[in-house]
Amino acid sequence: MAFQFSQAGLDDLNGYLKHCPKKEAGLLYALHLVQQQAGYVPDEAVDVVGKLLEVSRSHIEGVLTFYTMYFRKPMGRNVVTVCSTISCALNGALDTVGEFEKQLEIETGETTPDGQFSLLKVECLGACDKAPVVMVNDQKFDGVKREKVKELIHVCRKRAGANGSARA
Amino acid sequence: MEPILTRYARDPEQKKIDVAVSHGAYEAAKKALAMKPEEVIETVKSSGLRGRGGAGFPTGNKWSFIPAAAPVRYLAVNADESEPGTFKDRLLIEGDPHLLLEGIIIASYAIKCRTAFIYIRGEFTDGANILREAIREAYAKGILGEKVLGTSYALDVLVARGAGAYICGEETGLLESLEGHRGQPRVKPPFPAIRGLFGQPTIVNNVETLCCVPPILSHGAEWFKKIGPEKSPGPKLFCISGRVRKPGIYELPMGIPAEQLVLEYGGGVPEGRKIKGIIPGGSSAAVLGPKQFGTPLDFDSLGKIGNMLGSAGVIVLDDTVCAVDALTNIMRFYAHESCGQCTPCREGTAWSVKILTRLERGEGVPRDLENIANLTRMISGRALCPLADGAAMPLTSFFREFKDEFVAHLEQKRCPMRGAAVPGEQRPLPLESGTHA
Ligand SMILES: Cc1cc2nc3c(=O)[nH]c(=O)nc-3n(C[C@H](O)[C@H](O)[C@H](O)COP(=O)(O)O)c2cc1C
Ligand code: SF4
Ligand code: FES
Repeated sequence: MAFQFSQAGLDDLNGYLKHCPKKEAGLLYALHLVQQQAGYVPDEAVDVVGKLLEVSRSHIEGVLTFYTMYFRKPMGRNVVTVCSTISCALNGALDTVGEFEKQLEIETGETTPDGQFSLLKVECLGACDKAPVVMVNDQKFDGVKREKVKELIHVCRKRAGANGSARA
Repeated sequence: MEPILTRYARDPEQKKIDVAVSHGAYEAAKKALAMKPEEVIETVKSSGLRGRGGAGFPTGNKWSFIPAAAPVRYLAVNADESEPGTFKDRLLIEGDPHLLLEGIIIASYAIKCRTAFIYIRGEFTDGANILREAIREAYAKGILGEKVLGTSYALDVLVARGAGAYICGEETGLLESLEGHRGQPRVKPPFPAIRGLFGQPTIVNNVETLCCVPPILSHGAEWFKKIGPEKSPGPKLFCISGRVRKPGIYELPMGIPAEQLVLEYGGGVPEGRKIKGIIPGGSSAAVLGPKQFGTPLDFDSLGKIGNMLGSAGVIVLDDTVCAVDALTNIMRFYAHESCGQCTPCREGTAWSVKILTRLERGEGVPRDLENIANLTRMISGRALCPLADGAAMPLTSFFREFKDEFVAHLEQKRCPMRGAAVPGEQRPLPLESGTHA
């Protein structure tokens, strides 16, 4: 199905573009909107964004691969990202990752077969005093030591079940 | 010291404009708007305020570099905060967005700009939403827009989100990203103040820097200058994390000795452990070994010993931590975040990860130690932007301060810390999955 921006998204983007001398400057903005709507950046959306902002497909692909937050394939309903840089690592973040892998029965970088969870390792989330820090979609969880992993997975499962999708 | 920047930031109500205004928000901006822009710059200059984003450059001087004749200028607010160990800007953004907006108004007025962009890192979704709401409220009250605070000055403030690239915190990488490109730093000069966003003169300032501006206008430059050391004046947010009992953000004058900060505010390391190293300025700074624990934490004292205050992200290592393991973790970050334009940075960081991983696994070869020393020289000062130097700092300093451990890894063909018993708690290591299999 062809990708189409929601009217609200389009208005938002146009409001931003009013202040930029070049449409191209709205690229990261537009890609965030796409991902918010579709959960990832599908190929059809790349074409839509390219036409809208008058940028080439190759430029957009270059930008997409540079930034780690854009996904080029569908992700699980719960995208679990575990900070594994220094302050979190010093407080057991690698154990946390290992526990997620064990509980979800997937490796880091994979999605569970039921599409409920994707697991990623990320870099400093700017909350090092709350280490180890985990984000699930847009929500941050503090002090996720190994022992807390099971409970967190449980919370996410329940939430995803209740409203169909945890993605706002 | 009475908190200045964080006075209200921990009050959940402070986000609301009415509450902020009842605490005096936008009074300093009114005062500034009644002055000439040049006078505002002069006040900030004489306060001695130095940038809180890492380099410590005098803020007022930077503002005065904008060419007088330029018809269009921009302010780019650096809210990218991605340096491991740093989490101070987040508190200001989420806790007191109107303080930041007020700083933005004053800075924009001083440099005569009409449009300010706040570039916030993509992962700070809450922060971006809080800022958008604060901006919406400010427009509704006539604090932003066509007539800022009832004057003839017009200002628009926009929020732009990054998308997970640390290099977009570097000022020219940030501008590239704002223009819709990969965040690859530009060659300097020209500096952004001459040729920045969309080719126009642009000032890039850190969040904490801008939050220092309203208090300077309210209380005066002299008041500000009296806080802390003469050459590093004003309140500073110190972030403490790692192996400490009371991690968090502490607002203090600069100049406090590193060890004192860790003990008095960070609560020291866990019971029964010893401080092994203190990284004073986020992961790009050099690690302080025991002999340097007394170093005052300010721009110049650290600069004098070849180190830096950077973002004041103080990361504490205790004696359960393996130096090689910790360094591997740090270098992996830089290898991943190198934008790839310069060979010494791209290849050097990746190489160091390979060598360190090998050492940690007990598979090191004698040449490795020599190569680490050489690599540092090959990376440092040979690349386009300071990310490479920032990567070389931990490499050099860990190797210098904990050389014995590197040698022990090589000689014993294993990590000597492996299996070390830590009474009373679970040992935090390994830092790297797989290395201790
Ligand atoms: C690799 C790299 C990352 C940086 N990240 C940040 C950052 O996240 N936030 C920030 O304010 N400054 C960061 N800086 C410093 C900026 O380039 C710039 O010096 C700063 O935003 C200037 O603002 P100030 O004068 O108010 O400190 C970074 C620099 C480098 C080299
Ligand atoms: S030093 Fe590294 S991060 Fe900076 S421009 Fe060169 S390759 Fe990119
Ligand atoms: S190191 Fe994990 S949040 Fe900073």
